[in-house]
Amino acid sequence: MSYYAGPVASLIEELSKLPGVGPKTAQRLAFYILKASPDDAKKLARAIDEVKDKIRFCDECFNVTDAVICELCKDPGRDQAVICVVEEPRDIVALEKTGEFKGLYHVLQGAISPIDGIGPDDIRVKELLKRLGEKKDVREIVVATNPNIEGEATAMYLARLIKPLGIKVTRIASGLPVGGDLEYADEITLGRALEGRREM
Amino acid sequence: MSLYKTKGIILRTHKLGEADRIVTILTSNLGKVSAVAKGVRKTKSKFGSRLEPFMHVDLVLYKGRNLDIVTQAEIIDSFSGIRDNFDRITYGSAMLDLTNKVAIEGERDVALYNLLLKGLSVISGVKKNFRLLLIAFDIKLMAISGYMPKLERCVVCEKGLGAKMHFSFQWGGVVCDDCKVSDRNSIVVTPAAVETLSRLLRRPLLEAIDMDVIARTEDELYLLMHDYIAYYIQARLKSRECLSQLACS
Repeated sequence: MSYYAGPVASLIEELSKLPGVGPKTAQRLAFYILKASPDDAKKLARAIDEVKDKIRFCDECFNVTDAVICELCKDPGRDQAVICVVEEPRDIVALEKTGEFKGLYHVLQGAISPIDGIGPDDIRVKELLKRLGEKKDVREIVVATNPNIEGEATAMYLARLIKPLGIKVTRIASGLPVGGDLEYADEITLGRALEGRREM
Repeated sequence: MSLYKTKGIILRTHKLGEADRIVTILTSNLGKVSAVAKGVRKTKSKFGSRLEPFMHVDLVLYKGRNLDIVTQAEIIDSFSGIRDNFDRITYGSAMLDLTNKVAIEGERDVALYNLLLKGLSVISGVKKNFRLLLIAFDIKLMAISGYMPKLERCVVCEKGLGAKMHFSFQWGGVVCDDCKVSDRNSIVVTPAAVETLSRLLRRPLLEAIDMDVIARTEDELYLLMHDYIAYYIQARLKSRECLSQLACS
């Protein structure tokens, strides 16, 4: 039985479907919205509406965008010969923040995870191969999937497929996080840091 | 504070919330344990790669109300060879998956633990015969789980087998031509397949990688083991579906 009037109860119910939001938080959010000015509330409603209406996946790289081709793919200033492969659109944001990468992206929208039954057909691998078939000037693929077992599996699968096409396949380095202590590093990370050491 | 120490192999992980994971561990003395690893997805997590699947680790856990919490982890063996090769990951995952399905929470199973350790250590060094190794692992796992198939003589009449033989899932072994009527669902098997399976069952896991088995027999065994597992372990093995997807592409 609900103690709230219909619209409030349904708002609480909808909000509590969000990740990390339990009934109590949902209640608090609902009352915040109730108290907010009608303008703010409408803005929120419109933002939710628009995001579902307008946002789609870029036809080229499968990043989220509001156009057929996303801004990054359209930018003539970016290096067309290098494509960085990532798992999720959020990874693009992280990489863009570094300002180190000037090429194009490709979002796989997942990673190969045998134990979860996610194979290459369930992520956007075919689309990447199609893109490589159409764009003849790609020189390098940078595989920036997560350094966990799923990401590694995906990276190795891609290397196996793409290397025979005569395209260089590179993997982002793994090593010690800046600001961390060496003694706390695990063997795999430290081993890779040593492997990828460079001359000064 | 109720802390406890154990050794274990990480079978699988699930994302939890923003930066945590639930890790499923096959422990040496407590059977299967599920525990929360807090902050493990953050780049600067103290766990780093230590709680990734395939890792053999020394653990300190805190007894929680629902799930336990991992507080410390040290690597005993990382089986790093597995991470470096796509086939090793996919076939190794199939081993983890099946182990995860048969392992029981709170029930110590030394044989299963040792078999998985052996399986992972063998697969982390192999370059070929992945499928045969998996078949060998499967049959050994089924055997120690109480589903050892009878392969030497007919399960029903106990007499020697002729040239024509059948496999009955219901009776758990090979039946002769005369007894096949006792199980309408029995399937035809070749003597070569039965002979290979019995060798895989008896011989150490390591020998599977040097065994010469013709492709047709291996295909037959792979399907037979697939159905055998499906008959007794009623759970969906997604890792096997992934293997078939890879075989097709």
